[in-house]
Amino acid sequence: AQEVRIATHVSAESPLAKQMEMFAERIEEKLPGEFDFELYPNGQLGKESALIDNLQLDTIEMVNVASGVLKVDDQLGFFDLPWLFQDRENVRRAMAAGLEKELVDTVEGNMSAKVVGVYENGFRHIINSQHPIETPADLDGMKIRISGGDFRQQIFASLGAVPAKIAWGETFTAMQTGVVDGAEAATYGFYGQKMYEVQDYLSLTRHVYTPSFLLASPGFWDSLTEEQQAVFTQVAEDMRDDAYAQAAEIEQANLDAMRDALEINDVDLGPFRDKVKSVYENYESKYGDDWLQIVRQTAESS
Amino acid sequence: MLKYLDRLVETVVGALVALTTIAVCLNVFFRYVLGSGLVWADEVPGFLLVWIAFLGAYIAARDQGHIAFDMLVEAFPPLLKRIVQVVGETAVIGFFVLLGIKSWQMIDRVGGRSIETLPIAQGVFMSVLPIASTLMVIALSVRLFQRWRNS
Amino acid sequence: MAWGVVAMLFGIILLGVPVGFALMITAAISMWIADINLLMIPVQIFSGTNSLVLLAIPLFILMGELMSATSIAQRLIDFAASLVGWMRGGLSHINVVTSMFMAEMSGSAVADAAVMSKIFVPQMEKRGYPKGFAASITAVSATLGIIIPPSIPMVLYGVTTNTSIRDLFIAGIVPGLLLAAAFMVTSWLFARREHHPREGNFELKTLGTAFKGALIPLAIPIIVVGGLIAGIYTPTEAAGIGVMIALLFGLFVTRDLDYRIIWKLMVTTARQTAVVMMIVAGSAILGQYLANEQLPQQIASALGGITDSYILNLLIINVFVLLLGMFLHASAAIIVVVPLLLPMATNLGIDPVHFGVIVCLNLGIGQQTPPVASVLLTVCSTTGMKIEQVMGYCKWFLLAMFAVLLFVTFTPMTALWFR
Ligand code: NA
Ligand code: NA
Repeated sequence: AQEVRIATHVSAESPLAKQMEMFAERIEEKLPGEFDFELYPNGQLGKESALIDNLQLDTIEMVNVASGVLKVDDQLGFFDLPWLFQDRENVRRAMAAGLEKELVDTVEGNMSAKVVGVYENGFRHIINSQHPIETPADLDGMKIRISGGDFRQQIFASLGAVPAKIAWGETFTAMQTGVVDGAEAATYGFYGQKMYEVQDYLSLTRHVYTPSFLLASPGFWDSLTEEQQAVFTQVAEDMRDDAYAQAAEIEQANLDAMRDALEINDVDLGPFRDKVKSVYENYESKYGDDWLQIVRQTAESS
Repeated sequence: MLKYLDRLVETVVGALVALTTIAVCLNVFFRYVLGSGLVWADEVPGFLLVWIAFLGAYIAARDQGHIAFDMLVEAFPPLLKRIVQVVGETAVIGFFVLLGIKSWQMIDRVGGRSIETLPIAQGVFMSVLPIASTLMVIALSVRLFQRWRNS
Repeated sequence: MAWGVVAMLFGIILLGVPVGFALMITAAISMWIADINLLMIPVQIFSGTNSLVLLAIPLFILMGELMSATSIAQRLIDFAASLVGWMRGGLSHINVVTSMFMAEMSGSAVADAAVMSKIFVPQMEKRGYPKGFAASITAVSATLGIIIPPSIPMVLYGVTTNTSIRDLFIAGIVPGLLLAAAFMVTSWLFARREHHPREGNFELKTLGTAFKGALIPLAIPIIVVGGLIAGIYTPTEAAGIGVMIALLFGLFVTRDLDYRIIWKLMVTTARQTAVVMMIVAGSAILGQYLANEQLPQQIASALGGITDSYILNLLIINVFVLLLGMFLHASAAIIVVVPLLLPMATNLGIDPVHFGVIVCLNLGIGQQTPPVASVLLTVCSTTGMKIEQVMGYCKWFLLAMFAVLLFVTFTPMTALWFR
């Protein structure tokens, strides 16, 4: 059997790790004995940027990663636009309506990798020790650990927050000691790091949505027969709905597990969106509004 | 000749140590006094650490500063001792030749991706690996040559 | 396969190749044999060494270098002398207490040993102490540098195990004080038997003057480590601020720094950083290879299955780390081996922070014991002595360190009191 290593930088309980498991299991069902999948969650084979580099260099066969992929082309900064998607339904409809295809083409056009599947890493929310975030004014003066680049920092700064880019491993302590008042991340990140132990409020701000990218290295992909490639593509497509459903389940389970330890509140996104309009105008003037149209047209279609 | 190279590397490395110190302190200043983070200062100094480490490795190699366990080798008869030292140094040189080539290929293929906080290609920061590998090969070969001439 | 790699690594080290390069060569050969694409090497080196947290290492080194270049040491010695000089074996106690103060500004025992041995060994010799004794007490008390915060091995431990560096720093305080006390008791016993002299009488007025002179040096660690503990800044930022304060102090208060010296110290810092970072880089690729072959899980389960007894397991871990510390450089021992031992320790219910202190104490002992005795060798080389001349005295101090190690191992409160 051909050895296939699939790696991710996040924990074994994350949607990303579960997606690799799902993929490996279903390939095994369809092509029994042809592949020998080894799963490496938890950054065992390196952090996200290293995994992406390794994949393109053909030193790892497959990875499942998230926002790191969006750095390959400036237009993908689209996914950094704040409050872009209303909810998970909006994401799924937009992806089905052509956004996923655009995304795959852009990624494949800018890096040497085969995009096998696009699933969910999740919405990012804000956890903090001060008060629930309900309106943009609640962010004023709040020291928040952010990930991502300059763009996200500008948005938080423009809303009055004080962004800090502390290492993820130091974030728990930074919260405990008050170096930061809170952090923004996907729900499984808060849960996995036990941040609910030192924070009091989790506001479902959904300020950014990040897809996950199941990628195959060019060398590995070319080594597959046409039939195998077809099965890979088919399996990846067939598992899409289950992967989204699973990500939703993981998020719900994490929220339920944290509910006793902190106050969770839903957030009306309207006022936040009004505050960041200029960001959209800026993006449109650079890259046009094709992608935005897809998202907007699929926002309220239910 | 090598003296000028030493001077050049020392100058770059000293400047980098100063620069990272300033960046780290500025970040604290920005957070507390100006109430806004300096996001690039949370990423770029980490990359500069690679530069400090690998250029510093050249400086240390020039004056034999890398920590080694030499009690056993010192106890060897002179000829054996010389052979073992030459083999060891050749192995290190071999590694840096490999690192130089492989890091060059890496930059060629993935160096274009931008870092997170600034629109700078990561290859700019990665370039220290081939540069330092070349420097290390020079430093170690010179030492090997001197050892051979002295014996 | 795992043992083959270990054997190759030790073989290369024993043949005199510097530890960092030995790790790199071992990894490269192992990967080549296992038919792993060698392009992984530069990727892993680059991603394993670019880290804002590891940046604390050069900054703490620079802070310590700046301190040593100023008259801070002398001010601390004066203060220590007025505090404990009146006791029998006065200079030994002054030595320990000064090391304790120095430890608050430095993260490396080797650096402390270099500075302190130049000052103390000649002075103690002049006052009639055996040279071997003087060297021993100087070497062992330098260990305080990596137990009392800040500590470079603790930074490395925190990075490798994803443990809070701040918590590790706090956890080192009490064990550090216990070590200092153990050294003072040991030297007091020596002083009684061998009639070591006192250094004057206790005088409140002298103490007051000396205290005033040492006020700023004593305040620096409070700002640096205190601010870190209070959560004003991260470990790296704390180190950066420490550098700034030390600079300002040396330039404007003691006025023994000038731009030429500062420049030289920055180059020295890069050189010392490189030595540690080559080990980090080598461990990054060797670690990658081990993970790729799924060896850490195998080794961890092999070590975990020896016995069920909590106490025996703790002793096994201690012996294991101690042996490693004897043969490996402290940084290498932490980065390569701790990830393998930590799962076993956490299975036993040992807190990772407590375990970090245990590891550092073991490595502190390892720095005093041949064959790889980085601290003891530093003292020997600055004072022109042979290890054999020192070991006779050193072994008694090592005994004291063992006692503290065992006490801290079986009394988690000494490390975790702040939780
Ligand atoms: Na210290
Ligand atoms: Na040792």
